[in-house]
Amino acid sequence: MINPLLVDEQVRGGIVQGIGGALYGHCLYDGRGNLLTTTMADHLVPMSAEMPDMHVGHVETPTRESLLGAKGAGEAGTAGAPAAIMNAINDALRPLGARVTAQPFTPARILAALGKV
Amino acid sequence: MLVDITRVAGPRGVSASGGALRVGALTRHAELARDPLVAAHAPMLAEAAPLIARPAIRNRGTLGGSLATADPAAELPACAVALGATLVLPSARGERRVPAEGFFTGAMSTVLAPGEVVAAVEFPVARDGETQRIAEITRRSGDYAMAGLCLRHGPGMRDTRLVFFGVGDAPRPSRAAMAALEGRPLTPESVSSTGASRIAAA
Repeated sequence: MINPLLVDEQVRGGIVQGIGGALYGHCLYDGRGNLLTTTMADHLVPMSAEMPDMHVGHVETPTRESLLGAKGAGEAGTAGAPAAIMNAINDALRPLGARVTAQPFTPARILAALGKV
Repeated sequence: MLVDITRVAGPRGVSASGGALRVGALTRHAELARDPLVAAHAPMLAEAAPLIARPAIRNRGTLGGSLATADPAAELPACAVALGATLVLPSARGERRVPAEGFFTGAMSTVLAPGEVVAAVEFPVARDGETQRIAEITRRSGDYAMAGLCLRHGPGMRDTRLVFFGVGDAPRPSRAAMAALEGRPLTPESVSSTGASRIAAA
């Protein structure tokens, strides 16, 4: 790694972005296609209190596509975080016979999966 | 016209006398969280303050501002109703004293008349053996409540007050649930026996 500190923070930022997509970010439209969730009070993103402690480790595999063997690491945590959250939620829901598959996994969607609303 | 009353000294400070805790309307949320008189006499307020937004907002927002705004999902209006607070509303015409339960008329609306301000709020001091708690469900830490509940359970399990917030147009006491808990200890069994349907209907 050329800049390990920067790569760690890219991973952390990516994980939080993924958490946001899994739990909060929701684009809602009215019947005429107007976006309804246009402010940061409507379209939620995780804040510092929603961030878990993250321990970042690396497996380095130099690429042959560049002279240094380096490749981009931007937002590398984004894809894994929603999968981990969805699997954790579904693990918790399994004894209740429920499952969610569409993010964001909002309280309303989980209650709907449970048949409560 | 917007008048900044930040530097007006009168509606500041916390004092306890004659069975009442008087909290100036300009008292900030952060002050509620750390004031020893609040912790001793109205612990629900001390527990509620850290639930309000985030530190930067708790350093600016005030008790009077929260009550006058009357957001139905806010913590402090519900606390005021649950604790049976009295709002002190001076104006050029004199001074009115309004019970919190009659102050909130709906979402973001109150009986506050033109020319009146919230100057102070008086809370009955907690008695020995009284339980005061607040709990809420939020999407994120510091967000307005999706649903919240203020509980006061007086000494001898009497004078039970349950006030929900975030689930209607204003904080409202749940009279059926209050009656069901009156004279009973607070246990998972006694609480569940009040019945969700009864709470919803109240």
